[in-house]
Amino acid sequence: MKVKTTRFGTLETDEKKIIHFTQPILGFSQCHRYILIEGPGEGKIWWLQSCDRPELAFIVMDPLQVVPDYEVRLDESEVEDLHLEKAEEACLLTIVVVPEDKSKIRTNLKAPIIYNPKTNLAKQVVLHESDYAVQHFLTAAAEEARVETSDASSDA
Amino acid sequence: MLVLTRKENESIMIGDTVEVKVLEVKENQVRIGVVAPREITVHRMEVYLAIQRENIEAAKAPAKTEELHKLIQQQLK
Repeated sequence: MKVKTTRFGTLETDEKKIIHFTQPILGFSQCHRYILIEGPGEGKIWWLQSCDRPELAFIVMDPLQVVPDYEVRLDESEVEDLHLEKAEEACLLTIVVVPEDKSKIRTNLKAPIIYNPKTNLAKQVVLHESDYAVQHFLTAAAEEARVETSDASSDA
Repeated sequence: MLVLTRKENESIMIGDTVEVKVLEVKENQVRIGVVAPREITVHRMEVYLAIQRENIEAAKAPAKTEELHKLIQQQLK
């Protein structure tokens, strides 16, 4: 199957590799099918390329690279929805934002993508009860500044 | 907007499948329980909007893929 993309040209992909989102990524309700494209180098970074919109692609990363003890509690309905035999089989990816100001590159730890590599089903889940940030900055300096301001505002 | 008055432990039904129940009313806080089928996701509005906004920002990723990867990898070190 051919997938047209603006960044990578037309890709020839095995249909079995297409990831179906059981819930669309919030804000992109028309797009359910994506493929994962491995990034260059050794870092655990991928592109999640839409099969429905050539220009739509998200950079996603392994969140353990920024928070080594990152943990997600899946509820039963999510385990069922993704046809996971065990919760441990799930892969976790978080969406990366690259703004104009490159010192503010960040990833969304509050709403990771849960992916079952066996069934190719995925969804973005919102971790309602966790304290993980929607904007977790990759550089230590920016992240410390964020935590300081959010502490200050929660004291107010 | 439809406006209904409910007391603690009273519910409303939305369609045939979604129940919204008032669990507890405190001074300026209300605890609400939602029973919905799993294809219907339930979010706090401000969290929903924040995540949607962040996803839309993420989708604006520049096209220069190699450069981006280098930049991100540098920051991850």
